[in-house]
Amino acid sequence: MKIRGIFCYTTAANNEEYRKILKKRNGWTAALIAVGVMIAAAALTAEQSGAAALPEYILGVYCGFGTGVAIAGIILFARNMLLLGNEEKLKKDRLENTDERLMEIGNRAVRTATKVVLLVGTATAMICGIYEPVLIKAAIFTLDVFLFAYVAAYAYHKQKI
Amino acid sequence: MQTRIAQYRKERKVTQEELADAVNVTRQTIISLENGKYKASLVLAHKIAQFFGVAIEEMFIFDREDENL
Repeated sequence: MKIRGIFCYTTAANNEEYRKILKKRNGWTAALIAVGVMIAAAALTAEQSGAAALPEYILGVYCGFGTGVAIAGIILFARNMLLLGNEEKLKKDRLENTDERLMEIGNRAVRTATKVVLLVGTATAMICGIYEPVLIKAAIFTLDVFLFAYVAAYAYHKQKI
Repeated sequence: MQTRIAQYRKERKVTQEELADAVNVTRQTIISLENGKYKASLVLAHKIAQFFGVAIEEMFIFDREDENL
């Protein structure tokens, strides 16, 4: 089963418009690669110099995260370049990213995933918070950010539609 | 929602792929529309009806009971 990315959908009406969107996306992807490399390099440097006050395994997590982000960015960049050089593949990808049924499927999947994350996140924080109180603070912060973002986005889209 | 897409497509000897290309959607969306699994947006309904040169209500069968009217 092929799954489309959450942020892949566009409204490009033809290949030319989609080409411009992909080129713009590649700019962001390059920035993502740079951020990934910087995170990994900073963690690696801190680990080797021993100057950081963080435990070694946390530095390993940062290093792995940065490397993962950079690798994902490189793969995405290469994929976009491949698409830009092949008109047929570009068209196929454009149709999949502008198809209204696939958008609807994506929207429903996001709604379901949001419910699961909110429920599981809250339950985990409440239960694990007994042993580690910082988890409750983290959960409350995440929920507040989510609710604020939802209200702001709702107000914005209400003006638009 | 039931449609007459498959009927018109067969009459005009148009493949699902050709129709999908003409209205800028994937072939799977045409299949879902033909099976009644997916309701097209107004824009897509217009595009499909225009492709076959018929009115929207001729292509898409609006069932008042299904819509609780």
